[in-house]
Amino acid sequence: MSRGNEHDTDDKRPMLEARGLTKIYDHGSQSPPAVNGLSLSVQAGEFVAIMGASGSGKSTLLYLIAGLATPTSGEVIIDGVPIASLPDAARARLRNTKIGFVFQRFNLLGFLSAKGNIEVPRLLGWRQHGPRRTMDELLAAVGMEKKHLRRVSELSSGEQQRVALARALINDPDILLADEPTGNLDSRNAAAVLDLILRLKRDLGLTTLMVTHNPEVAMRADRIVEMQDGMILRELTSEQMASSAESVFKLTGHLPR
Amino acid sequence: MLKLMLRQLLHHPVRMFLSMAMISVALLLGLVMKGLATGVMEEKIHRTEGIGADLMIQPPHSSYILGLGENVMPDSMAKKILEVKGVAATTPTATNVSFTNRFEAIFGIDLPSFDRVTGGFQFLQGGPFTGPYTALVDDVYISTHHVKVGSTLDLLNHQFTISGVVEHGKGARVFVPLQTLQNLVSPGKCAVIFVKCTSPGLAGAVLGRLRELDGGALGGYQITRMSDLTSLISPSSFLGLKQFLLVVMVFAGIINFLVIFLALYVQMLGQTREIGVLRALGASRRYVLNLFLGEACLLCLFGGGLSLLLYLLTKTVVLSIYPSLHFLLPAGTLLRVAAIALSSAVLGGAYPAYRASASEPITALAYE
Repeated sequence: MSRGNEHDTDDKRPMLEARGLTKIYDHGSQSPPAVNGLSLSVQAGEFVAIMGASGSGKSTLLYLIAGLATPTSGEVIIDGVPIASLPDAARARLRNTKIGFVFQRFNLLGFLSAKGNIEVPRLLGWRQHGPRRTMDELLAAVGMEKKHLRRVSELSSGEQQRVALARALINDPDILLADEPTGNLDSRNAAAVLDLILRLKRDLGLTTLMVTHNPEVAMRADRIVEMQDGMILRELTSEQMASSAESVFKLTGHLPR
Repeated sequence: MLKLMLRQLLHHPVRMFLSMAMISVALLLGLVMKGLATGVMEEKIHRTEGIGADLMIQPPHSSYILGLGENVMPDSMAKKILEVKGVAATTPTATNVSFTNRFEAIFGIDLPSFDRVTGGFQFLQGGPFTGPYTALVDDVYISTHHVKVGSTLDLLNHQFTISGVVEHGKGARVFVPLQTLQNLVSPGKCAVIFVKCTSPGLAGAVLGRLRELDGGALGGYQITRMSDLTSLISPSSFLGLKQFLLVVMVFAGIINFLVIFLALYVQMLGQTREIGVLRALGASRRYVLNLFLGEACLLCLFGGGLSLLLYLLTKTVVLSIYPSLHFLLPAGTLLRVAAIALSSAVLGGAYPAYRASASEPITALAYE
């Protein structure tokens, strides 16, 4: 299932960039920006964990990058394409073909089976070429091959998130955006889903941005970005994590392993 | 997209069924009204054409639906018309209607001349009139009224005995002697004179000669080629019927519009989050718009299909109770009904579809 060397030649080019990104939800009042002049660059294949207190703008940042919200100012560039100025259909196409999104609350469609949910991105009709993976391979990859015909309401939380993950990956995206994917799971399921995401990320060479409150999850990223009041408070690379136990502890409250 | 539409609709089967039922009942009303009106008229035309005449002469401004005309034309005119070149036979016919039990047209006929024009009755039971107060009825009449040869009929406040049963298709279902009917309603007068030409191809020429007869004495009369009846008898032949049917169809369209609007508006409100999910997965605004409009059309299609089934069921039930009635839905009517239903569905779905497509994904995803 690996993409092989597809991204090798592009390794130096950012897969996604945020430049001076600002988002103010309510222009009428004096509410503070949810994201405030934030700039971030993520290389292809990189795994970035975004941490921060509730209301720090983590989820909004993810929605802006996915093109699900329009920035008040600034720009998001996906694989060299600025998305803010794209028409709705082009942004929809980009979301469908370039980005896989995993939500904290799974956001599965209750009127479809597990398999039906996974198929939805394909039904939207943007994909020009055939899928890299068959449905069976994808179901096997997330361990849902025996329960794919069940309604989502009949699945456990962990299984629902596996279905959501398969749905995010069905169109062979380059980028995986995950908004606290383990936030609604118990520790056992959380660990299993996280292992799955990391394995698939590694196998598929996905550029991954994951919002998380869990320091142990963040520790497995290539880079940790901490947000506060819509801005980046500090960043920590894997090298820094490896060399400075103090800074890791400061950021995550945990000592590096 | 069709798969998503169907799944979304089937997710709320009760709502879908109720919407379909309401749409189908609204359409059914229009279909039954139109089907019955057209069917009854077509059957009347068929029966009138079945007389076998080439022309019919009626007093001015008479209805083409025989039985509704007045007996004001002297029956002696039939003999005069017989002298016109190209005319093979004529028969004066008085008409009336009986309201005993059901509305029924009655023909007062002069049997020998009627036979010459029509080629004669085919008797299934009994035989011709045996007296002034005897009647002939057709086979449809005996099956709907459960009578037989020898039974008495209460017509125009008089008792008539059935002397024979004839095969249907000769204008009316009940025939009595011409003179008897004339004596009861209008002595010496008739409502229509049927004319048989020596050749059907001469009907046009004979019609011209009739207009010039006696220096235009028949000028004010209504002379109709039987072959033109189909185009002349339509809902517009009845004052207000066409408008009534139109109003019924407009109401059906309005009900359809409201049902679709309500169903999709409720769906739009109830599935805001799902719309957000679809948008997040790559559905464009246009896709969501088309999804909702498609669901409106599907609802309408299912409702329309159900209305056709209900129409057939209604037709079967009505015909089992009133076998003499007829239903007919021309293809043009079906197309018009489909157009009204679809356009009202698109209009009804337009606003909910627009609202659904216009919602920002992030707002929709945050919807509880």
